[in-house]
Amino acid sequence: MATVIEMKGDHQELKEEVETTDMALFVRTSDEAMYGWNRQKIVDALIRETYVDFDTAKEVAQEVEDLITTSKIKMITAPLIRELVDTKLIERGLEQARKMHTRLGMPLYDVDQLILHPNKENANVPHGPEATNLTLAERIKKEYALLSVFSQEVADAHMRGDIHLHDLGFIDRPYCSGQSLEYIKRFGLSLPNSIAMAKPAKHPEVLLAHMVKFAAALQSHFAGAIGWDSINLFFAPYLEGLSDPELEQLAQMMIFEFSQQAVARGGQAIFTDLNLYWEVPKHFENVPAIGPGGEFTGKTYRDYLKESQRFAKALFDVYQEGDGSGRPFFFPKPLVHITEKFFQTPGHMDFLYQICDVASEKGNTYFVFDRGETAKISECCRLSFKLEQTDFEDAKQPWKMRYCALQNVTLNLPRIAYLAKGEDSKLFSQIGEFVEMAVKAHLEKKLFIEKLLSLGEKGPLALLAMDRDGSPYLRMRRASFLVGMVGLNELVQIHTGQEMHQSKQAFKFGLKVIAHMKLLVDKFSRRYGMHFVLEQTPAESTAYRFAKLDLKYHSPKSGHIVKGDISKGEVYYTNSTYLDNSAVLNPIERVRQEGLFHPLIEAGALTHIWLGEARPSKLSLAQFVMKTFQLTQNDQIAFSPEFTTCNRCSRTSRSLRSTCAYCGSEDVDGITRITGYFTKVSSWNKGKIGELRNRYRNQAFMEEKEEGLALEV
Amino acid sequence: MPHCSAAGLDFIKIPAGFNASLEFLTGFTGEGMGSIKIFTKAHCPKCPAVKEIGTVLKKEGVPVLNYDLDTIDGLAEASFYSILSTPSLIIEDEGEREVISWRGVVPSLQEVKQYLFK
Repeated sequence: MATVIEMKGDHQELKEEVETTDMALFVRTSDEAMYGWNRQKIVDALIRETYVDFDTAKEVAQEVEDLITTSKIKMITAPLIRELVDTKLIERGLEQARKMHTRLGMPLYDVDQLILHPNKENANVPHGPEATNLTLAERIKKEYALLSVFSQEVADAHMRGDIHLHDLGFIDRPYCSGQSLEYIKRFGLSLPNSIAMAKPAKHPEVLLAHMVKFAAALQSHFAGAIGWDSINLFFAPYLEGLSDPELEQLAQMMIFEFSQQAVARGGQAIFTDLNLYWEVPKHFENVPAIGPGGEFTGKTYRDYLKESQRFAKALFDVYQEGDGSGRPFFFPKPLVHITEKFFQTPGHMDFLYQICDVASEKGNTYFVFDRGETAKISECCRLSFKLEQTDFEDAKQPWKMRYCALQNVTLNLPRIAYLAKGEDSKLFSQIGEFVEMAVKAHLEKKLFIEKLLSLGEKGPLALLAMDRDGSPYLRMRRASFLVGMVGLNELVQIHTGQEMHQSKQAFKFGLKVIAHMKLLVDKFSRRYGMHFVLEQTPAESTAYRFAKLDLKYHSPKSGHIVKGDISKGEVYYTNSTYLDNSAVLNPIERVRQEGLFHPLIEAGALTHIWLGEARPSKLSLAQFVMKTFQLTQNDQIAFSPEFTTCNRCSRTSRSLRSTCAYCGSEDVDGITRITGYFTKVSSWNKGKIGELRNRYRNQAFMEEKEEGLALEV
Repeated sequence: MPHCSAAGLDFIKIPAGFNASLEFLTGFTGEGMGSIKIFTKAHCPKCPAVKEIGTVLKKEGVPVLNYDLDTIDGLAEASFYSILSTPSLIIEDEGEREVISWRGVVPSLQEVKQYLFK
């Protein structure tokens, strides 16, 4: 409650008055009432919020009152009174009481800056009143998390930059999730606290509307991505008999609905992943299909291959065209699963060429490689789950297939190397300590979320506690706990003197570090009966934050290590287990080498192939994709072109330019992939700008061939 | 059980010699002489058979390196060679280039010798 206390009249005169209730101090509260000064309120607050005894509380209140009455200040605020009380608590050595009595909030200056200037921590958040609300709320929750949810040890490790606790502003939500469309097909849209309940959809447009609304509801319960499994297949029973134009219209609606921001949290588009298959995944072949009205159609999903494929093609037709001004759609992201069965399913080459064309033209396509018998659900750019035996059982009732990652904690790997000072044993034991800290953070967050979930459908996480099929929507037993990393390349560089691409020894040392981390998370998984997994943190702002903190704490050494331009403040560490972005490497070789880490990173990984202004032919990219599938262990690749969009003439051209290629206007925005999604470069933080300048765009590996520009494989 | 999974993943077939065909390895040649690398795990029913092959060959003077995937060095080395299942056995030439590998299967001593002394 915002409170202002105004001092009326002369202070000295007040001092002489005996009773505090006569003091001409008025407390103005946010419920628009005005109360007189009453030091008993300090006593009440101390008794209510802390463990101090009554006498101490009374003494503190009296001392604060004395201080106020003798001061010359004209107006005091409630936060100031609280700080004065805290000072008295500290004087008495009551550290714990001071902590419990903390007021969360922001300085006036910061709020002013926040309202006036965009927040660049997440480039997916636009600037406006809703976004400001979001950021203000996040700041308070972040402070709350660090004070009240996490132990001081964990909070300090975060503040120091040993680790990074992601999405602290969303402390009362799990991190990200994967859904099955079957849930809303079967149960309709019946959400706790909702004022209207919708029965299962009978028409494809209604199903889409349910999906979008459910996604928006989920976005307000998860911090990150909302992924949808086999979306083209699960839509298929609703698509029988639709003409091509009708199907195209539906595909267009789906992409525009998810790409436009009006529906979303703080004006932030829902981070949506659409998982698509050309084939019917083996585990869904014999599953009874759910159709209009939530009824079983009497067929199994193997009977819907044709509709499923038509819808996938229609979606990519829309991606190919781009938005109203020809720009690539930022969301929803299409993830196409490349499997053994993909190559056995008729028509796959035509489809591969189509999605490669989109990859080259607009960059949207993510190629996810599920080799052998592995089946995966990808939830966001780096987060996927390999299906286990129990999941294959669940697949018979696909609405049960809902997954989440509860939290993401990232380790500052270069920090470990600075601390180890070149000693192997120290380095590996320090890695152990950092991983253990991440595990501790996960245990604390899990406890907190479980507390909220225990309040059931009357609690704050009612949506996740809702039970429509015999188990809560959020299935804790299938939750993952992510341990990410930033700057493996720099750790190796500090410790061995070489970056990973510079020698086999350096590269192998990088593998040793990640192998150690993998064995550690496996050990902790066994110890706690939880699923700790390594993840390639997208590190949109973490790579920047860690680099800045290390420049502060580990200078001068760090000055030689951080990437980017220190003079401009555009500093960063190389993301996760990536090789140096600026290294000149044959792209297929980069895919292969980075892919050697991927089997150790269970929660998903990705290699970027930066294209710059080049537009390789679909034939060349298809060959690249096939080679990646057949000859490497890489989990996922994405090709990233660059664009310039003009705010004056609304046209979009290839490559990043300072002026519009069509009208010459300087009012332009660059567009390319920041980490796992496309966005406008103007919204990027300085670290990512530094990385963008350094990205090697594979110019030396492009060659003109008969069919057009080809990316060397 | 045809094989044990390493790093929690299933067996993926990699064409023999693929690693060696790429510039990354060929850029770092000339280290030591040809050798056998054996990858095993503790709870793997077929691993003892491959270890036995290693023991026999070692007695005959062949350099044999054993890697346990439950250790850091073992898992890192296995990752480097894309070993995703145990037991696995790789024969390398003097330049640490892969000559042939058996991944997730147990070759006969005869087969190994055939490639080793080719």
